[in-house]
Amino acid sequence: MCNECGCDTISHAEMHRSGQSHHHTPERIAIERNVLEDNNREAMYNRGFCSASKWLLLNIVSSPGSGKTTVLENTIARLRDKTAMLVIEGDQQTDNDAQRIARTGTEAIQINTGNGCHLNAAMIRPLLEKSNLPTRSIILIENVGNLVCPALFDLGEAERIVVLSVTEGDDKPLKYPYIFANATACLINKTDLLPYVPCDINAMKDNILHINPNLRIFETSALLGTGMETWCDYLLSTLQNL
Amino acid sequence: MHETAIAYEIMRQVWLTCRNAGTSRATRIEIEIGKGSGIDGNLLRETLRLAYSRLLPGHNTEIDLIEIPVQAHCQDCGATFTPSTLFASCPACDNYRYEIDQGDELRLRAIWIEQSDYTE
Repeated sequence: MCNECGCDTISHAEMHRSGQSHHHTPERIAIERNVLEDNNREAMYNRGFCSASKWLLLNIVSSPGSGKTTVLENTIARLRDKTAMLVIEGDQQTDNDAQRIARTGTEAIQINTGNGCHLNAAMIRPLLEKSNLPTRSIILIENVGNLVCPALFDLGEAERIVVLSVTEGDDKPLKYPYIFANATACLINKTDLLPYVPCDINAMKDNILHINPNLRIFETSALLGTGMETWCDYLLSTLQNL
Repeated sequence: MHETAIAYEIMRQVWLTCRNAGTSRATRIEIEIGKGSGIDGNLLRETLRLAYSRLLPGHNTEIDLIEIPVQAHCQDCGATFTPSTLFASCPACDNYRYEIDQGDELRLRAIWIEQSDYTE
């Protein structure tokens, strides 16, 4: 680059020194491209890959500590005799969650995003391509615990599930609307703690449905197993209808 | 936080376009950002400014961010309106079933480059 005017010409400084002059013509190049287009294309590939394989791909999102991993453990325990499963764990650091899932006997692959705040579709693609799951299997992606960033990044999932625990407060859907707007189902988890926390579960449901009137809501306590049968029945019927 | 990932993607697309056009420097980039896109426009602008000034200090790339207001139409009464807050109810019938017509854009609209002409 020329140090005097910043343009691209090689040896331009020499041209300036030798008395040559020049002028620049501004040129506008229209692009009109969605910034997330590359991710969306990878997501479409993942969606097509799973659809052709008849795999149910679920993207499970929530804030940290809502009970996602416990939901997965309980779901696996109930469904492992009925379908093959794979879990993809997304966390900034550690493989603690993958170890927890591995103890259930189901394969778990850990993705550490380092400083990244979300998973993207390109991270999922090679794991799908390597997998040798049979048809009509369930792949559960536990996204990085974060109610903001994962909302924007399509992974190619058939369903996006938000896990919201009653300890987080009933106004969370209004505070973090995007994640609910793009979801297909919501698990209101830790319902066993309702007597001990100031959470109005009806107000929470109203707030969820204000953001997304089509969202399917399940009330669960993954720790005690309450409501998990209904949730697992829903997964099985969705799997059968693929 | 995801504004950093978005800024990175914008810089990558600008770089690819410049390379295809036979130049290395964009003098200006135009980005359309909807107020309902889930991206904070001011944060994205500052992230891009910081990234360009630190990583490509000689480029002096101007960031032109065009904000698009949210417009929606109610699926029940058909009213067209600008929601007072994101996911607010329809002002005509107080219903929450409505579709966003504009305001969720996140688009790299154009870049500007300079072609050099030389005179003796």
